[in-house]
Amino acid sequence: MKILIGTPIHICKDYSMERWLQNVAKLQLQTPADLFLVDNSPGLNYMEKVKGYCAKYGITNYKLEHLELPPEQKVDERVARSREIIRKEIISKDYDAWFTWECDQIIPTNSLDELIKMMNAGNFMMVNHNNWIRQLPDRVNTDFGISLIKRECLEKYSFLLEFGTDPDMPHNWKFGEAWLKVQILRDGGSIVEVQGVLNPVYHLDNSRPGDPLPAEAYWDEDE
Amino acid sequence: MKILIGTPIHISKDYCMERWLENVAKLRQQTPADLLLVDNSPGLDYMEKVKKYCEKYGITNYRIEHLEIPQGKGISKEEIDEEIHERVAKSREIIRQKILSSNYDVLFSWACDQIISKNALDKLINVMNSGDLWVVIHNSWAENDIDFNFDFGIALIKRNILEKYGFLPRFGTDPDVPNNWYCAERWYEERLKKDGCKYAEICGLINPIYHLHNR
Repeated sequence: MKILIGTPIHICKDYSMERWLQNVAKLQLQTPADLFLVDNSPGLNYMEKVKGYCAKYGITNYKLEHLELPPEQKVDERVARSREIIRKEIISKDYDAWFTWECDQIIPTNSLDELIKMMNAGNFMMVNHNNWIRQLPDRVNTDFGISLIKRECLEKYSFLLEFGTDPDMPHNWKFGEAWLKVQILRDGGSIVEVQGVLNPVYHLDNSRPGDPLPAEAYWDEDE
Repeated sequence: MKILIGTPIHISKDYCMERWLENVAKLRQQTPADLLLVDNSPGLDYMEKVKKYCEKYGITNYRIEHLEIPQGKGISKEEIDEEIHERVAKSREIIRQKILSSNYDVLFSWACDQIISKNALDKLINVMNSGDLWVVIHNSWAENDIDFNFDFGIALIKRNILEKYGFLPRFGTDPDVPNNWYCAERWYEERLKKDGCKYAEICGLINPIYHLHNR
């Protein structure tokens, strides 16, 4: 199974980037996979810093692209547009699956192996591992922080939401991940949401006491 | 892996019981498992009817027990729901005790209104083994056929979990425990997650699933 680790990055995650790339290097030693980073920071400077981290941890087999977006664009849309570039990379090359791994998640080095095993056991379209809400470490978080997604889904479904084209489609970017899951299931595909198999998972956080909670902390209430 | 199919039953589910037992018989041909039914209907009569269904579909290796429990007093929807959930939880506790007192490795919790493919148990076992999971729950759809339903309608639960946690909520013993039976199952699941349980919720692996209703 040929896998691409595809990750949107941004300068606001610099607090975790070096540790994460060290984690990537160790994981790649155990489970070979290509690495594709899409930087959606303002300007090109942050890419240079990331290249420095990669050099430090011996990561040479990787691709880094920049996506310049309007500064007022919110994080969910930035991430979706970055993921769309990753999706195109998967489709245009011969990758079998996308390992979507956020750059603030530190995971065991055998994680990708574990997810592959589970994907094969149930012939799942998606294996989605809980990664805990960053500022609420006892709250389950089932976004695409740690997920393995099969090529077939990506061939059909985009991360760019064409609002209004489907009555079930959410009306904002925040629920784009949930929407992909809905599409997979509507199409007869299968998904497994897992927790506890990868242990420990550290969802790194640089917030200070009093900072607002992340949006996902309120999702239950919103829905 | 020695498996017990453990299912609370009630006369109110008679509309689906025969079809379900036919399904059980076919599934067990593919994946051997013992069967324990706990009947919580009022009185003993319904057990006799169920025994006849079993006979009809060649189910001989099974056990059926009766749990007599006060019922029929609820008037409002909430009160009726409470009665149902109390009956189910107490029946599951009997099943749990059977797992613990015998040498079963896993409980296959399979509600008697769910018709599933005969390779369903095989598939769940495969997934459980692939991640050394302790609990595997398959979406069984709510009775409206639209909403997801991750109750124990189709679930594999390993013995180690059952050794630690019972199905009877001990009201007042934990600040998070709900004060009603309706939420007891959700609380059970939440408690497992807090305990670091290796836990999976699946959609789409078993297909089709017919969640029968008699409306």
